[in-house]
Amino acid sequence: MSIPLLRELHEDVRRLSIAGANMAIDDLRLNRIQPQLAQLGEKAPIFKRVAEEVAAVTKAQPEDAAGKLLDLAVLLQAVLHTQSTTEAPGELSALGSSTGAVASTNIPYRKLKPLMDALTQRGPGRLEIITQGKTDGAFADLRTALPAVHALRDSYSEIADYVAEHVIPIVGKAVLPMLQQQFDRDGASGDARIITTLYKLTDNREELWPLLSSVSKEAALPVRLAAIALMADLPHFEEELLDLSYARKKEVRGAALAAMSHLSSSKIDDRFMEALMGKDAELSIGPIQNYESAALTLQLLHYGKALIDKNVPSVKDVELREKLGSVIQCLETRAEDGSVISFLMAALENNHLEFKGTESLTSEAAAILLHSNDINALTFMHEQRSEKEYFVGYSFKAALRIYDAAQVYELYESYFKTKKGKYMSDLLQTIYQYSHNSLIDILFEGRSRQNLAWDERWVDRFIELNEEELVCRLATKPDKKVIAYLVEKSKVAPQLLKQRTIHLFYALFRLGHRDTPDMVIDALELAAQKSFHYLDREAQVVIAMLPSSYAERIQQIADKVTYEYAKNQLKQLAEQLAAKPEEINEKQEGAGFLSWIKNKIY
Amino acid sequence: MTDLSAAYIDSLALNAGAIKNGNDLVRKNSFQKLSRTEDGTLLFGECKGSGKEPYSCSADFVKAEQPVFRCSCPSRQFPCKHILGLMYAYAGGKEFTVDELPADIADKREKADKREEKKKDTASAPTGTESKRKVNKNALAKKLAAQLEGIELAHKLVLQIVQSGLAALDKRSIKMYEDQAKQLGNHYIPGIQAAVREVLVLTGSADNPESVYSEAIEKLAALHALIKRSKEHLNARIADPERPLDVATVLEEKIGHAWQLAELRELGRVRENAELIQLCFHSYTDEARGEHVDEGYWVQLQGGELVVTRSYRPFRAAKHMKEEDTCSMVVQTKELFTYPGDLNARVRWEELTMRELHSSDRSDICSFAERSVASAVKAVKNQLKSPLADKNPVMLLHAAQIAQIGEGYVLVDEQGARLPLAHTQRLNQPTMQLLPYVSPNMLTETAVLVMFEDRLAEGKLVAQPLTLITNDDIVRLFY
Repeated sequence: MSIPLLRELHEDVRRLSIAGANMAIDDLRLNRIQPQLAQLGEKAPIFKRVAEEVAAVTKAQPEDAAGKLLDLAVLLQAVLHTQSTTEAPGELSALGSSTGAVASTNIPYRKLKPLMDALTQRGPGRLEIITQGKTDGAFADLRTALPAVHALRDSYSEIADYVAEHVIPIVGKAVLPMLQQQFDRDGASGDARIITTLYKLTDNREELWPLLSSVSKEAALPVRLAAIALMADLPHFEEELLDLSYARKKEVRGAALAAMSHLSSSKIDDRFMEALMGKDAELSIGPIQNYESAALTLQLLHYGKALIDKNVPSVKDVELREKLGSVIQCLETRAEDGSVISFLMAALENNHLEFKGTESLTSEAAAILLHSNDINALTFMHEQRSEKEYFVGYSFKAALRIYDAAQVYELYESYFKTKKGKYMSDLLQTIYQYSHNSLIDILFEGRSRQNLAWDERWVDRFIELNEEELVCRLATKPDKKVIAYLVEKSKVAPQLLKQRTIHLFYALFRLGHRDTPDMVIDALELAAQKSFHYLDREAQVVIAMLPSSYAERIQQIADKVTYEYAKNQLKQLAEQLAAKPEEINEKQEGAGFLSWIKNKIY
Repeated sequence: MTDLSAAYIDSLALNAGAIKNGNDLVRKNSFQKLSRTEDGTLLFGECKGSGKEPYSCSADFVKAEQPVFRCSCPSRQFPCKHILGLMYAYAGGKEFTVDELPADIADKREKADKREEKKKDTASAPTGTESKRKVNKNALAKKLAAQLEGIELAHKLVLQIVQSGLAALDKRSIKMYEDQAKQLGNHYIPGIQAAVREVLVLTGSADNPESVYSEAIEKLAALHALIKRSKEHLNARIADPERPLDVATVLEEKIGHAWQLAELRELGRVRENAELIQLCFHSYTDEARGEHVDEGYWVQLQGGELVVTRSYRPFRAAKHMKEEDTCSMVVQTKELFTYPGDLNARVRWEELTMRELHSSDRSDICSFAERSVASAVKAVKNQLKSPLADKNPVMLLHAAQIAQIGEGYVLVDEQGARLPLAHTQRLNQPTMQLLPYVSPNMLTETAVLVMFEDRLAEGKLVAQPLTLITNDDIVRLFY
């Protein structure tokens, strides 16, 4: 049979259907094929039929052409469908992978399909589907493996990172060949993830070392950086890393220095010093901080002293100052070293670090010393306050660590006489830093933290200074003066239900002031007149602290509120108050109260 | 009911969202009351909702193959998340207190029993006359005439498209044809209407028209043949009103007849006590019909036929209809209805129970596989040459080996005959790339479910592997 002829004819039918059936009448090609078909038809009747149909098309009236053409198409398709081949010549090679721990394909369509789409397509909400898929164990399914590898290249990096970190390890070693096949050294950040996951997943890491080494020298930048990061921890690569730390690209140098910080040798010590003294100072600070080497510490101190010596005569040299700054930053992780402490103390004492525009140097040095918890250093800092006025904030912090509450008060209360002092804000900031608002603690930590012990006398001092937040924080006893002050303060615009008002109410509750519930109700009533949109969580806690007998009144206020959301909040609170257990009514603190509050507010 | 499994409950849920929501209710402890009756046929409980009163829901398994769900919530999704949650809680081992059967449910059970009896009475009463439903001859003649008229209209449309040529189809003319196709809706020929729209959607949606012309021409030719056959058939029925519906081919369904179970029963197309195992699931959106289609390929354990279930979810109602899903259990049904069809006949069932799959089931499946590629290809070609037939038949083949050949893959049978494996346009998702990662013993002496596709332009018949079945395991490469 002459099948090629029929295929040719089929092409012609296609062409004519596209161009329009009118063109088929007296079509040249059809006319040429028709006699050949007729001739073949003498032997095989099917060709005869085809020949007849072709003739019917070419001789059709214009209005019948379409029908005839379609008749021909139907016939041709029926014939050709029986003539397709299933030939597949070539050498057979076996398939299958025995490394695969995953073989199951049990995840149903409705779970699998959204997950596959999330891994391979774009759009919002995908990360959630993927995390859910992970919790459901969907990644045990073989069919998710390739899409997961695909997702390593996702342009939304959070998905790609999540998949690299949490999903691929679950899919397991079965993806190794896929990763290997997909890796493209000239690719982009996706390939960086691929090489990292590949390396982490493989059993025989040494096999990949040559690849790491060649990729680290020449590949797309993100891939290079990933390879260099993988070389950390491996003494095998020390020489290569040292070479790479001289690379032309800044990012590569940075990555090499960072990788080197996990190793240790005198060559690396020298390279770090070289980098710090040269143009790569900025790149080397982080790695040096992470690098553990006593020898390097010595070199740093040596270099620092040399800088200081130079610095004394020429205070204007900005570059030197910056270098000194870098050295001090490098010392940050070396505070436990006695020589570092004495270096910093000496530098502070001799005003080496004190010149215009060096506040940051001073504060860094001071922070390192504070962090060291070295008693000599702390005492030294405490004493510095008399020498240098600007240092009083640091001295105060140091004093808090070495003296008890009463001593601290006596030593430092004189600095808190007025709010006008030049360095007052440093001091107040310190108190804020070392005291807590227990209401905020309840909400964000779920527990109340132990306050640093503060002397009672501070409260009076802050009343004088009119620091209401600090009074709220530090007051522990229902002293008349304190209560009067807080009550007075809470009268300022209570209807706005501002945070400060809420804190005042909370402090009054804490101090056991009897009128507090009525004050809260009054404020809420005023607020309801003005209408408000919602209650924040702090306000909810304060309302929840009302005795249960107030449930009715909260309900009444809720009815007056116009905004639906706030109304519902109040109604819920009223319900909870009504159901408040008796023992919690009695004692508004402690673990029982906290767990009750947490249950109600969250 | 005691063996209520999470997979079974999943299969009852309308969609994945319902599964999640149901489980969330259990996780959040939203059920204030969980009870069951002594005999274990009824689960009931109360679930906190957004309203003041909790919703009371129940799942009644007094007839295990047809459980009855009830819930007082206003959701239009049914079974709602509360009912699903109740069952998940039971399956998850939550504590259920044993309680009296609630009075309202006892009431409802009684009423249902009465209804059932009544049904039986009416069904069994007029024996002998039951099979012949009355046909209103006048109405039938009118309908047939309307259908014929519609078919004429459709034919005109098809000829017009070919007359002016596919290249002439632009946005405006497609819109015009679409409007005309809409009118076919008045002629009881939804199948033909959908086929016309399919051609229009296909040519209208392609970015590069050249890429769809071949497919469009094939569809037009098939439509042309269908129209001619329908005309003959309808004319014959008008001439002889006693002439029955065509059951030998898919013609009636292609015209748009929706077979009713009663009709199929009358025609004796029912198999009793059938068991089926799903081997592949495929869900896609049919723009031309305006429906989502959930398609399941099943092997029938008694005869080994490969049958297909198709459920249609029109876009407008999709939210409230059940999304079908992969089924990993064995479906048992008392009555299996079979539609007229080719290699893969469409089937349906009303009631089902499920059981776990045993390894003997897998060896049964393997034994049904066609062992010779040559005879499979012959059967497929035989189907393909009919213009009305499904162009993507699915078969279960036995493979001595599945191997790689250059860049491609191939199935080899015991005689060494080869069948090239490639991905089909119909499924639009390659599955071969998973083959290298499957364990090697799934790739030799295995049964493979494949979907065929004939690539006319290349003159090549290829098959896409969907599922691998051995005595030990089933690996689904597709869904």
